[in-house]
Amino acid sequence: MSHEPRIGVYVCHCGVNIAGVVDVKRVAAEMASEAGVVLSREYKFMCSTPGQEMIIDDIQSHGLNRVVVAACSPRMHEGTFQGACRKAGVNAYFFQMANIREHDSWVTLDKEEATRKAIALTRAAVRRVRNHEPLETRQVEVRKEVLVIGGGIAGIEAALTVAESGNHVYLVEREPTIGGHMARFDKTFPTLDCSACILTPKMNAVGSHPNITLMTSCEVEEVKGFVGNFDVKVKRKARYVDHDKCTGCGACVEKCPVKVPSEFDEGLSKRKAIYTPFPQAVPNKPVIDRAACTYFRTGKCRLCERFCEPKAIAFEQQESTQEIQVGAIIVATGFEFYRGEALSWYGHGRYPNVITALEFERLNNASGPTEGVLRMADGRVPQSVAILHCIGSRDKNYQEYCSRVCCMYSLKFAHLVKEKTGAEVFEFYIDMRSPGKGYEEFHDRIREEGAHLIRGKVGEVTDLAVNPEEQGRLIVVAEDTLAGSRLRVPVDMVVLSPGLSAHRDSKVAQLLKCAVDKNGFFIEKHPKLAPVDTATDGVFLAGCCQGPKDIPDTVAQSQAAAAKALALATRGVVEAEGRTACIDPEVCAGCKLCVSLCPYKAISFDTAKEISVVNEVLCKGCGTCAAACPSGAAQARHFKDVHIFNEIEGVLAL
Amino acid sequence: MTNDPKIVAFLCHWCSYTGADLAGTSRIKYTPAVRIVRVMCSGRIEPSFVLKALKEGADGVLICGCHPGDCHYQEGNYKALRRFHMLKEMLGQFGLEGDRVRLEWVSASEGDRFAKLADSFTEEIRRLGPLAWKRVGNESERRVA
Amino acid sequence: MAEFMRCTSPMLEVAQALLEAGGEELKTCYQCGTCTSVCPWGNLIEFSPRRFIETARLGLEGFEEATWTCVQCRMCQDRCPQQIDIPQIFRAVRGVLSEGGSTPPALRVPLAGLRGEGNPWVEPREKKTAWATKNDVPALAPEHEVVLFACCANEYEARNQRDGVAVAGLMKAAGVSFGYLGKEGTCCGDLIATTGAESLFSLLRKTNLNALGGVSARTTVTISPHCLNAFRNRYPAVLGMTFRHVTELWDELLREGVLKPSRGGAARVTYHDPCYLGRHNGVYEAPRNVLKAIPGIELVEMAHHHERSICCGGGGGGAWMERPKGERLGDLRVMEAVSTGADTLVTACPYCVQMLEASVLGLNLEGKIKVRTVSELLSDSIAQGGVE
Repeated sequence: MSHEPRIGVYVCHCGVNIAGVVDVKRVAAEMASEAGVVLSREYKFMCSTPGQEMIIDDIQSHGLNRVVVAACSPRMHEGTFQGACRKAGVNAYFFQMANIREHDSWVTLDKEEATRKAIALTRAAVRRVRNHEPLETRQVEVRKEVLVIGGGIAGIEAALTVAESGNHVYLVEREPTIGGHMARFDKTFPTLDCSACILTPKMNAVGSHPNITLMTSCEVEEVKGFVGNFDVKVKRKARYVDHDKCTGCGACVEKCPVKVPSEFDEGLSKRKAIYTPFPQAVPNKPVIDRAACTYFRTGKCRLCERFCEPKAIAFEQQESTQEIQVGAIIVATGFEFYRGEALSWYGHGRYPNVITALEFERLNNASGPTEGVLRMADGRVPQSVAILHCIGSRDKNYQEYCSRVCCMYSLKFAHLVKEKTGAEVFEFYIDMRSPGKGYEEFHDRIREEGAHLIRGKVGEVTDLAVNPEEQGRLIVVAEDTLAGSRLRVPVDMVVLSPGLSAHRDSKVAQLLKCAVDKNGFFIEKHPKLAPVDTATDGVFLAGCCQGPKDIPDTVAQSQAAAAKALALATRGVVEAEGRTACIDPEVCAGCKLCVSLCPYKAISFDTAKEISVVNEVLCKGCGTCAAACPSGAAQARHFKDVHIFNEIEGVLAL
Repeated sequence: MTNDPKIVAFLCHWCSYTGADLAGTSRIKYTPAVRIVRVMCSGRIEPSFVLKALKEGADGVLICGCHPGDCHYQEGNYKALRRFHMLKEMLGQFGLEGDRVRLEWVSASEGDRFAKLADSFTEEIRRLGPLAWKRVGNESERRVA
Repeated sequence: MAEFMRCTSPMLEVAQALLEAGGEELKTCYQCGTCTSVCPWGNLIEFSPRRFIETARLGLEGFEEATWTCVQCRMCQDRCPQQIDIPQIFRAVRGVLSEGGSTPPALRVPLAGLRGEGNPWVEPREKKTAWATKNDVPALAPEHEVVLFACCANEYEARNQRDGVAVAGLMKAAGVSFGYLGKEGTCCGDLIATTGAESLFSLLRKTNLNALGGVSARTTVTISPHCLNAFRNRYPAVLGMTFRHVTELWDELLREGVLKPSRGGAARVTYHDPCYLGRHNGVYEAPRNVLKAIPGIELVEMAHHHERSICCGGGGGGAWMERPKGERLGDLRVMEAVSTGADTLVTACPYCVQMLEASVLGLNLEGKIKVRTVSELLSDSIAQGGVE
C-alpha cells in the first residue's frame, strides 16, 4: 500500500446551506493546487446517492486513494462517506472531512471570511489525509441483556417490549415500587381512562415476567465498558424485609404503631413506618423506612417482627451491591414536578386551599386520602375553583420552557371539578396548547362543559378581601387580556399547574457519560433524526428524562428505545474503535508513564522486553498516553502528532 | 480583516466539538478567526500542539474539553488541566503572555457558550496584539520544529 | 374602501422609533398580562402595561395616554416571566414623546427648575447649602472618608430638611468622618431620567461626576434611595466609589455598637419599602434592622411588604403630577398602614415622605398616623441619650 497519495477533494454546496455563504467554486479551485490532489470538485449534495457515486466512480476511474469531503460535521456524515470509500475499495481511514457548515457557513456572516475559513479548513483536511494510514476495525460481540433504569411508564413499557422479544431485562427502580408518576394520577387526558386501570396490568406483567429481573429500592452506582459490553454495579438499599420469605400478607403494616406522611399521597395521608407505597404496588411487599421506624430510632418495638409469620423481617439487612452485564442501556428516569418558589408566590404553603396538580390528582383518586371526594381543607366541597396554568413554566425566572402537558392536564382538572362538584371553574392560561390526537376536541369539550377559560397569567392569589363577596375566600388577580380588564375572582380553591422538571439529584447522566441540556434533560443524539439515541453508543432514552412529554409520546419513545436496544442485540456484533493507540517498540524507553495514565488499563508492561504494550481490545483511543509519552513512542492512530501538525498548518495557511 | 488575530481551537470530539456543532445548527454567529482542530479527548493535547500552532502563525490557542466529571474517557480533561498549567509556565519562560492560551470546559449543549467564548477570547487576543515571537528568538523555533 | 375604515394599519415607523429609543425589550412580550395584574394602579384605575406594550409595538394609537401613568415601581419587571424591563419601555416611549414636544404640563416646572437651578423646586441655586450652614453640617474636605449626598428635598424642602438634619446629627454622633457635598454637586437626576429627559439627565450626571471625581473619599452615603439608584445603576462605575444608603450605614453602626439607641420611640410602627430602595436595589432588611434595634418600638408589617410593597405614587415623575382623589397610590398605602394599627408610618425616602404625608392630610388622618423616616426615629432614640 506504499503508494503516492492521490487525493480527491469534494466541496459540498449543501443546497444553499454552504454555497449561500461560501464560494464553493473558489474552495475547490484552491484545493486543486495542493500537493497530491488529483481532482477537486464541488457538488450540490455530496451525501446524496449521486454524490456518493461520484466518489466511487472517481476512485475507480482516477485511481484515487485518499478522499476529502468538505461539507457538514463529521458527526453527521463521516460514516456515509467512509462507507462510499469502503465500497470502492479504499480504507475508511483514508477519508477526512472538513466541517465547513456547522463550523463555518452557519456561524459566519461575512462571505469572504467564510470562504477563507472554508479554504483553510479544507486545506487542513487535505494536508492531513496525505499522511493517513489504513486502519482495521475489529468486531466485538454484543451481550443480549438490556438494562432499563427507571420504573415509571417509560421504563415499564421499554422493559416489557424487550422482554417480549425473548431477551432478558434488568429493570432498576430506586423507589420500593414501580409505577412512577402515572400510578399517582387519577384520570388520563383526553380519553379520561382511569390511570391505574391501564397501568397496573402492565406493572403486574413486569413483576411476573420470566425475562425481567425487577430490582426495586435499587440504584445504578457504576457503569463501565462500552456499547455491547457494559458492566454495571447496582446498589440495593436495605429494605429490612426479606422479600423471598415475605408473603405480602400485610400483618406487619397493620401492627406498626408509627404514622408518617405518605410520599405517594403528597403528604395528604399517613403511612406506617413499614409500608407498601400503595395497594397495587409491585412488588406488593413492604419495606421499612429506617428514619421513621421506632426500633431503629430507639432500639425498642419490633412489633412487626413479632406478627410476621414467615419471619421475613430482617432488621440486620445491609445495603448490598450486585454486578450485572448488559449490551444496551435504556434510560427512563422520568421527571419531577416543579416545586420551586413560584408555588409559594401563589400562596402554596400559606393558604391551605391552594394545592398543586399532584395534590389534586391524589384528592381525586378513589384510592387517595379522601377516597376521591374533592374537598377543601375544612371538609367543605368547593363552589368555585381556579386552575392556574404555567406555574414556573414559560418563565425566565424559573423554567423557560413549555412543559407540553400542563394545558391538557389542567383542562382535565376542569372536567373533574365540574363532574364531581359542579363548581364554577376559572382556568387562567397564557396560550392554550392542545396539539395532539383528540386534544383540541377535548379542549372544546371543556369549554362546552362551561369552564371559564380566561386568557391571562395570574399575578397574585390573596385572601385580602376588598368587599363582602371576597370575605373568607381566595381572590385570584389577573388581567383578562382578551377583554382588557383586570379581574379579581373570588374562589374557594386554587389548583396550581406546575411544569415538569428534570431530576436534579440524579447521577445517572454522569454515570453514563451522557450530556444533559441547561434544564437538566438528557440530550438526544439528534433532535430530529436520532431522538432516542445518545452520544454514548448503546445508551438510549425513553420518556421525560429527555424532555417533558405526555403518556402516548412516552410510550412511543419507550418502544422506540426498546427497538434500538433490540436492533443492537439482534445484530450481535459492534465495530470496535480502529483509532486505538500503539507504542513503537523500537522507541519505547520503558518509563511506564503511559501504564499509569491509561484509564482503561489497556497498557501493560512487558517485563521481558522492558517496553509498554497496548491491548487494542481494551483501548478506546483517547490518546492520553500519546500526549504524555516523553519519547514519542506512544501514538494515537489517526490522531498522530503528524496529523495534528498537518492540520494546524492547514487551518493557519489562510 | 487580515490583521485580525488567528486562533486555533483544539476541541474534544465528545463535548466541545459537539457544542461547536450546536452553535452551527443554532446559527449563532461568531468570529471566523477561530479555527477548530478536533481531537478525541482534551487529554490528547500536548504542549507541542500549542507551540506548533503559535509557531505557524496563531496568536492564541483555545483548548476545550468536557466539564469536570463529564469526560468521555473518564478523566482526560483533568489531565488536560494539569498539562495546561505546565504549558502556561512554559509560555512564560518563552517570554510569551500566558493569556494567549486558554482552557475552558464546553459541553455538548453549550453552543451559545462556545460562540461567546470564541468571541471573547478573540477579543482578548486582539487586545494582546499579534504574537511577538521575535523576543523569543531562534531557540524556541528549534525546540518546536 | 369604506368597509375597511375601521381597520388600523401598523405604524411601523412609530414602533421603530420606540425600539431605537431603548424599547427593544418589548419584542419578547407574549402578552400574558402578569404586569397588569400585579401593577398597583390596578387597584384604582384602568391601566394595562400589557396593552401599552402591544399598542406601542405596532405603533397603534392609544399608548400615549398610558405613557405617563407608570410610577416605575418595578413590580411588573420583577414578576415578568420574560424578564422584560417594562419600566425601561415606558422611559423609552416618554423620551420619544418628549422629543415630539408632548411632555405633560405638570412636568414642565421641575424640568425648568432642574435645567436652570439644578433642583425641581425652581429654588435659587444659592439656597442649596443654607440648611447645612444653619445646622453645622460639615462641608466636604479632603480628609473626610465619607461623602454625604443629600437629596434636593433635604436641601430645599422644609419637611425633608428635618430628615437631613437627623442624618447629619447621627453621623456626627457616631463619629463618622464625613462631609457634605454642597454646591459642587447637583440633583442626581434619577427621577427626571424616568420621565425620558435623557439630555437633561446627562447634564446633571456630568456635574456630579465632575464633583465626585475629584474627592478622595471612597464611600458616598445617600439619604434618598433615588440618589442611590442613580449612582448605582444610572452612572458609569468609573468613580470606583461605593454607594450606600443611610439605612445601610445605620444598620452597620448599630451592629458594631457604635450607635446605641437608648430612648424608646413610638410604640407601634410599620415600614413602607421605597421602590427604589427595595425592588430596585434589594435593600429590605437594613431599615427594618434599625427599627428593631430601637427600644420600645414594635414593628408590624402591612399587607404588602418587602418585594410586594406598593408604591407611594411618587416614582416616575408621579411626585410632580396631580391626581384626583380616589386615584392616589399614597392613599392606598396610608390606609394599609392605618389598618395595621400602627401610629407611625416609617419610610426611608424623601419622596415617599412627601407623598405619604400628602395622603395623610388628604385623608384627614393627622390624628391617627404620623410619617417619619428611619433616620428621624433613630435620631430621637439617641439625641438626648447620646453616645457614650
